Amino acid sequence: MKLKTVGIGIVSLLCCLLISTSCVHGIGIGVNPAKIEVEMETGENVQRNITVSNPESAELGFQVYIENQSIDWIKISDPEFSLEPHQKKQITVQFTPTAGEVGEFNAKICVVALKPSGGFNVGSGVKIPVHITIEKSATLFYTNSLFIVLIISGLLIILLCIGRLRRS
Amino acid sequence: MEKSRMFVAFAAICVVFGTAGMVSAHQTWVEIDAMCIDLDSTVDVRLTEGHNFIPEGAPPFDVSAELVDPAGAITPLNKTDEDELYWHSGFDADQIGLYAILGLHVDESWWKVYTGPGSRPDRPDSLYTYFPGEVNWSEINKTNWADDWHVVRHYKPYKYSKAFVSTNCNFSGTDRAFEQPLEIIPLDDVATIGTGDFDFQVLWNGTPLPNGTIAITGTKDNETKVSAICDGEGKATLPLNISCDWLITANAADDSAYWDGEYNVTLPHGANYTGPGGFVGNDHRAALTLLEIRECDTVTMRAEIRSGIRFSVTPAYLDFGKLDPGDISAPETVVIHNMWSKDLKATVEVTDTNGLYTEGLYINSSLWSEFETVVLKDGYASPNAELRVPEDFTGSGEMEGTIIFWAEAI
Repeated sequence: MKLKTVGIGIVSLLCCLLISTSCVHGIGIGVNPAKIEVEMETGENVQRNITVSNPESAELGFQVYIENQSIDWIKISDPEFSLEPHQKKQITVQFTPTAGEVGEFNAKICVVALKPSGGFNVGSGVKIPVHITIEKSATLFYTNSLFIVLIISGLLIILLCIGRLRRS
Repeated sequence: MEKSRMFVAFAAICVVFGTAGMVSAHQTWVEIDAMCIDLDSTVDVRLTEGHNFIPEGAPPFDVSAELVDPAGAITPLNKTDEDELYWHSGFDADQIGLYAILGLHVDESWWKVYTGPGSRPDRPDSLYTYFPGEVNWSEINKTNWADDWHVVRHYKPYKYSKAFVSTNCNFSGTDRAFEQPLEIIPLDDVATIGTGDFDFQVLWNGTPLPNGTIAITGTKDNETKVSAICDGEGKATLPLNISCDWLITANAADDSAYWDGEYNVTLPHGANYTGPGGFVGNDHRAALTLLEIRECDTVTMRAEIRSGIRFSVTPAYLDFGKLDPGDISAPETVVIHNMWSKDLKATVEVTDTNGLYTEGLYINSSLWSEFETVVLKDGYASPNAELRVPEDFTGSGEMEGTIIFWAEAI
């Protein structure tokens, strides 16, 4: 009987500890930077880092995703992760537009902190506005294949003319 | 004759104790463990007296304290215990925001007497001797005293102390007066204590005293102190360049500075004293305890955190209770706290699987999708959420769903 009482006591204590350690009064989030500007050229790959922090004293789950799903060439390195209290994590956002993408694009990277526990859960999230400018890559004239063919043709014509002049 | 000898011995003991008192009991201040605390935590409030920010004993005679909560309500902090070093009290911090702890220690009356060079064998450099309570001037031993000994001040000390704690690490509002008779007001952000010049203002009943009346001192320990004299607006700047806990104290700049009493020419004095007499009245001094913000730990860390969006939503769960179709729940207040250095825009997104929340959640009496507000930097928004269960809702049991409060740079 005594052992049973002690056992119940220990289990209750452990439950209390578990409850107290997982107790969270609010859901907070820290995200840096608040805005992202990207300027790139076609065919180029660019990456930016985002730091996500958990300012709360309980473990929180985080999700990162792109709001505008029509832009499928923005990739998130870690779309889902959890952070211990006061822990931070750096995630990478990769911009790899297809060759034909030129112009200005707007998207939002959403970072949300949640602690689901049944019922009606509250989460806090940050939307990072992203402005991307993609310009056509400026090809140097001497790397243009048509220009090279013309120069070689011109040189051949000059050499032929010189040869004919010598023979005559 | 025997009685006379006993009185001399008693007077000598008084001098020794008076000396000890002068050395070790100048200041009374509030001690707390941290300025940033968790919501619903219990705050241990301690009042102590000592010197150089080192506690040396529980303040004697009349001690009291009161609490100003984030809503502005004032409640007394009752004494819960007393030990060798501290007068103890405490409270449960169950509100979000800033709490101010105000202490008052009214000590017994003291005499400050000019007794001349060499009058105190224990402190050869001191020109003054201190006596508590009543003194029989005709019987006291004046063997080593100067011929022009005289009472400089006869005063009753009133020691006002103050400290702050915050459940969200937001200290806006510390720069207002909490109506202590003599009060030190930090004009800069107390969370930046120890990072450089810090401006203070000292007010007497809400107004500054004349230029030069008040001296303000920042004390780290017995080796590190900085002082300044308050100007005509009661303002002074202290170079608090070391990241640590600081005790800020304010009192009369010198013996000629007084504001609650008057000079009295009839006070006891030696045969050769020809001066104007001594001050008789109350002595007021103030102390403000400022602790290093340990949650953020370093300045580098703080700067990094402030560079990005940081905000929180409280509570973590919304429980609208048991409702029937057609019912409207009691409103639940949600606090959105912007801890960023810029204003941000807050919106809401609700998801569920049964339409209860997406169709029935109202914020500030409008459907959740219409909610949008600007939360100022270091500020709050406190929208009310209520659940209006549609009349034709057929679901039952615990309904799951999620509400996300989105923040975005403006």
